[in-house]
Amino acid sequence: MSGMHAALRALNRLVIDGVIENYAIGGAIGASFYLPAMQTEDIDVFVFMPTPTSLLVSLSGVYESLKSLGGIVDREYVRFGDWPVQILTDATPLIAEAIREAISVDFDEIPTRVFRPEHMCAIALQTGRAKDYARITMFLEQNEVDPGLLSDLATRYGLSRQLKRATDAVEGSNERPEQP
Amino acid sequence: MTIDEEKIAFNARAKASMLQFLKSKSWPEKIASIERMNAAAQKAREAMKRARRKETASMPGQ
Repeated sequence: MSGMHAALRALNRLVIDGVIENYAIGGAIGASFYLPAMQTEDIDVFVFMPTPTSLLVSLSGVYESLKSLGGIVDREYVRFGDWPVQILTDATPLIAEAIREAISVDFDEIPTRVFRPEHMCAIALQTGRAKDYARITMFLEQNEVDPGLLSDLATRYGLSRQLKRATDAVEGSNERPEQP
Repeated sequence: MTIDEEKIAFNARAKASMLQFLKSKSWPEKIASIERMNAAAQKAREAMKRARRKETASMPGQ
């Protein structure tokens, strides 16, 4: 069993035990569900915590539980085999929606959840680093997003300008060079 | 500059075919390939570190 299998089993255990309400995978590992494999060294896991009793959301219970399930805490990661898992919360309404609407998939018969491609693109637009735009370009070029859904997300979360920049770039790169 | 239409068409076909092949892989297969990439990168980093140590040790005054 690889580190990825162990990590997914541990995350599913956390849901069963009520440590987290639910989770979904984003980042490059999530994107690799739809696109060709892309280089990354960690697994980004976005979690819904059970309704907090205070305004402060603590992840210490999640880390402790993952540790008891075989994970090794290493700075902000919990390592399973070769895979460091980074636990992130539903820090923005967009991320919360992405977790809520993630799709259920199997990884070697282990059930798990992955962000929808449109949410991955919208989160990438919000994050806005060069590598995020590169990922959006891949999603758009490979027709892995529903343009209507992505446009709706961009409108609702104030990302229309960023989406236009990304789509303009893709359309520009598809144009044939002019004959000299 | 002249444009070799045949070459452009060939490159486009090759790119599309490679993309199709890469996308046809299952998710676990893609993750396994990322694991191999990371293992190779780790080996390269270690080799670089060893080479740097060796270089530093052979410098005069070390």
